[in-house]
Amino acid sequence: MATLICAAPAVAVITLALRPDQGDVAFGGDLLRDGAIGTALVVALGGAGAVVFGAMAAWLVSLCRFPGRGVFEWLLVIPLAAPSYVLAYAYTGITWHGAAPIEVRGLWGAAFVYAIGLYPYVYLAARAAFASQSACALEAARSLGASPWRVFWEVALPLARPGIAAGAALAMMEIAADYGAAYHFGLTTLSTAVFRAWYAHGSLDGALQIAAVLLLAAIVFLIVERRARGRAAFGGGSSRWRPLPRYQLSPLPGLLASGFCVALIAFGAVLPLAWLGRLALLHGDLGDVVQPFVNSVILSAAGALITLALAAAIAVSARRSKSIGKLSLYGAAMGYAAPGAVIAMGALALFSIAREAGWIGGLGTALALAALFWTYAARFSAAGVQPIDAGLARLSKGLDASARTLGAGPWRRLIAVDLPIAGPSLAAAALILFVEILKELPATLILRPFDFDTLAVKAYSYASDERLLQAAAPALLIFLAGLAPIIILTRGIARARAGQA
Amino acid sequence: MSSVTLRNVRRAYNGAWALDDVSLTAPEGKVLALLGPSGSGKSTILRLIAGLESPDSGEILIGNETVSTPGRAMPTEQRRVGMVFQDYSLFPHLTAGANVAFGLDKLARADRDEQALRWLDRMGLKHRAGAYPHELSGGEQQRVALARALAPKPRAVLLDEPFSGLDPVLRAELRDATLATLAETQTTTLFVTHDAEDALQAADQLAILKAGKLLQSATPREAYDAPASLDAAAALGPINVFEGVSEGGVVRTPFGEIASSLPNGSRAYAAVRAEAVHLKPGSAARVVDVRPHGAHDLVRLEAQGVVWRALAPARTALGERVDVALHAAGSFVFSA
Amino acid sequence: MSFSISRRGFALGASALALAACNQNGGASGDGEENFVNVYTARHYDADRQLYAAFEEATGVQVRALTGNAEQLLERIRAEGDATEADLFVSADAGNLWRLKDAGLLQNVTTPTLEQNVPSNLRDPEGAYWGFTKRARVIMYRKDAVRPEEVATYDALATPRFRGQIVMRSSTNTYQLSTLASRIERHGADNARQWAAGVRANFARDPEGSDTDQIKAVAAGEAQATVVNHYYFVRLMKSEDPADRDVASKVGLVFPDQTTGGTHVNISGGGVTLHAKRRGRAIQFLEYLTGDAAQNLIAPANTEFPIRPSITPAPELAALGAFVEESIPLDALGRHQAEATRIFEEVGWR
Repeated sequence: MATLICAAPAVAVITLALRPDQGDVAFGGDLLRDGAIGTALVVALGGAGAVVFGAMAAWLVSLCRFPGRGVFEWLLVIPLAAPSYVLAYAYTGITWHGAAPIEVRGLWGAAFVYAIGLYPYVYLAARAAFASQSACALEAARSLGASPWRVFWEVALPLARPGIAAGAALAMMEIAADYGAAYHFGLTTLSTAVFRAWYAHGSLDGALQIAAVLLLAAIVFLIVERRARGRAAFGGGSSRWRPLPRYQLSPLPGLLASGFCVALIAFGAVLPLAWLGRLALLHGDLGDVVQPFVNSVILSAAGALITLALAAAIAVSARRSKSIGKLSLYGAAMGYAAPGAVIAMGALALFSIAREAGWIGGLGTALALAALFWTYAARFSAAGVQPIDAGLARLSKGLDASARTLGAGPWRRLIAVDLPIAGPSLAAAALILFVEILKELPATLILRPFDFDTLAVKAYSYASDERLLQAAAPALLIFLAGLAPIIILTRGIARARAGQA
Repeated sequence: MSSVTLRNVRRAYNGAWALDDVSLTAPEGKVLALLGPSGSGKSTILRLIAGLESPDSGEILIGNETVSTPGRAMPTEQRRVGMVFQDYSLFPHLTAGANVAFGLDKLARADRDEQALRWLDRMGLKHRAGAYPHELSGGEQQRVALARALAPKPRAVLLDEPFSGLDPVLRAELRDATLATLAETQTTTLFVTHDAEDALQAADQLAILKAGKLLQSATPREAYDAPASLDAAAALGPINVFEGVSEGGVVRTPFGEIASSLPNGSRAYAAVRAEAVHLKPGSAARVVDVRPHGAHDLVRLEAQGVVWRALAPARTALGERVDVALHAAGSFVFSA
Repeated sequence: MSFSISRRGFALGASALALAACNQNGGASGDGEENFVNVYTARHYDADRQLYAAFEEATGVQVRALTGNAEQLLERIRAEGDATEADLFVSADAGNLWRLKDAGLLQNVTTPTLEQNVPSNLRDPEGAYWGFTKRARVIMYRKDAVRPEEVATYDALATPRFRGQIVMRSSTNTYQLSTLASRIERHGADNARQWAAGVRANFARDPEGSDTDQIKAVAAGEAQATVVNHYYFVRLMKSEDPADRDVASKVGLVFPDQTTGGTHVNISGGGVTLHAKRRGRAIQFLEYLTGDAAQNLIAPANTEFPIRPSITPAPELAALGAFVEESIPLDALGRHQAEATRIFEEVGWR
């Protein structure tokens, strides 16, 4: 049920694209081919960068001891708060024409921006994977005389691979879906091709066709990823909890490790933040940002809760039944790989169908808002399913059975057992969803109510009008509004570790 | 406390019978051991009694109350059946004390805590009440799990391989302590094990299972002395088997004759427990291997190309030639 | 379980919806139409908000705006059908307005006031949409490398003189499409294709970034000339950022084609939606937008040109001097849009 809800807009897009009654869209071929190549390139480059940054950082803070480790552990997540399009604008500004040794532009520029902005997905997943690793396996490797390097490559990394793959899948789908940064850097990707077909050719049908290709590619990608992960499904090893043994890095490698973390944080957050701050200060007037801030928070919170509920339902049903469950994971995850505007069109199309069938009246404001939340759910439930699934993994069937034999009914089991154990993961999922929706632009832009501006809408309005100075303040606030949940999120993970069984 | 009864219970997984027409009774206040190899259906019986699964046919009674029929199953949480899981399944987010108190939620808070502490004390774990499961040793976790299951005064308690994860010394100790507690509280107990010694030592009543079928239900004594089948005999310890023919009231084996009541000329299995093979100096068989086995030696004998095992009290030397006497109480003949 | 969670999700959504729905109702008045007008607008300038306030002050009619991207607003109006809340659609490009008309989502409106306020080349011939500000598509050149005479025409940019010296914005952008559409109208498709191919051959790099980015690239020496909307240059001149002002100081502006048909101009304009619930209010607001009061407020704020020559533009614009603008039917920008896209794609100008 929940899967149906989440998958419907994406499925609608595919169905519309495959309608037999539409003419041949002449431009489809070239645009599609170039877009597919562009997407493959930028997803591969950006994804690889995110994996390298994220996995390295996770390994360092999880298994090594070096100056500043404790602070880096949560600072490293901060770039998650930065929307890719904001980073893109910032880096163009920062490195513009001689202001820096290298200009961030083109394919490599885009790959850099994606890698630095999205590595936290890999970092979070990899760190969780390292944290849940059996200390015994690592100790065994060390007792066999393996160097830290070898332990990393041959034991820790393979054990953490499923987690890293999950994080990488999220990052890569996010790259595939991104329009703002790709357009800014002049790339031809499937996402920019969608909007080229739509805006330049004025052909929504063509846009939907290209989007359908993107969605189908995402499904294939997910199936491959799941297969790969399925084979590498390792148990938790020793069930007994022990602090992970950490390598004490000697001064030089320690300094390098610190430097690596500092660089990630600097490039992912400090530098762009400073640039935005400078622009905002130059402009002086913050403009009307209080109401958009409040609107953003309300919308993100409501959207996160609805999506969380659906994602939880999907995760639960995925655990219950194997084949249907897997299907639902794909269905839910599919939307994550498509631009929000396309998913929004899918949701709108469904409402149009309902209207033509006479089930509902016209799409007034209330229904548009429903379509907006629907779009959020379709777009982001994948980001929620994964942490929830991790939380559910901690709920063994035995615990549920134990509680039942001790006379606990469904509600008591939920409140006294399931929630306390899976709770931290649910909270983590909610926070991630909150930040995602906070950054979300296109669906919000098209489906929000009258006179209801969010920070992202505000920033977009200025940026699309090329008023970067005015765009700086709302963009900065998106960043800052995302920081609080992210800090809660990471500190929470650090604490949750102590309670693990 | 109540008895637990299964009547003609069947349960299939993926088209294969996990339990095929099983009927048995765990007498009130007694310990019933369910013995069998993995896949024999013994854990399924516990899950059916607990209501974690439902039978495809047949019925389950606790006392006089029918708790499971194919159409209707009382929910687990209303059955008042305690269970100790193989992995103990302690709640990782609760202390030992809170784990034990979990099933006492009908009581007032003060009573609940007091009772939980009393149970922990009974298990010698009062000092660990504030510890989390991951801070407890395996034996401590097992005892907390038992205390948790017993605290709500269940009508019966189910133990799933309760001693399997423990080292041998701790295992025997814990088994005896657990039994003492169960006897003291007059608890109807069903416990699942694949270890014959656990079953023989701990149970008042034995149910031997294989491949979803109940082979024999009897006291340990009866089961040991009069196994219902070759498989039932093999379930209780190392056994030697020889396929022969019943002639003149005996089956002849390379190691001696065994009395048989089968008709003349019928094919038969002769089965002799290793501890029923007695050695004395002689020449009929040759010792091909000797291993210490507790107080005894486990000796392998060869005669006419057949190798049997014997548990011999006296030291025997490798290569020595011996004569063999087969003790009648441990020797059986089954129709082939 | 899965089902019950979903239902709870909906319950949450419903309460949020209820809140939003409540906020949207209200403001009904006695004189037949409600006392507000709903505008879907692809213009998102702060100045527009001042304008709404001024309109409300003058007429007592409240303006409620939903800003967004023109193509997406179009789809929303289409999806909303006859239930749409939109009374007026506003876009910063004639091509987008034409698309709405083409999709049958606008109604023709003609009033004496509008006819008097809006010159005939800056409105739809049938009255489906009306311009209220004007923007010119100008050539920017680097002062230390190019003499203004060398870029007096759009044609110049396609000559070998500028091999490797032109930067351009992506042809996905609607201003770019309209520029080529106007050329198709004036000189025919073949000429337009040759021109686009010539410019394409002169590219210093593949199209990327915004109009402002093109100006910056020219100032930085990456290229010598580009084509942008005039007000982006004016903004750089007036920017609070010294780096922006530095950029502006290095480039010069030319109104091209002064002797050969006039500079390409585009409009910001509005049209009344087919299913407008408050048609009268929408027309009232459109008339206001094209009237003197609004013209004196809106055009200077965004340094766009007023819709009528009789109104004095902002001082920065006046300083650029008067210019000859092209005179083609406005709907040509829309009619030739599809062909313009095809041409851009044929010549590899993405």
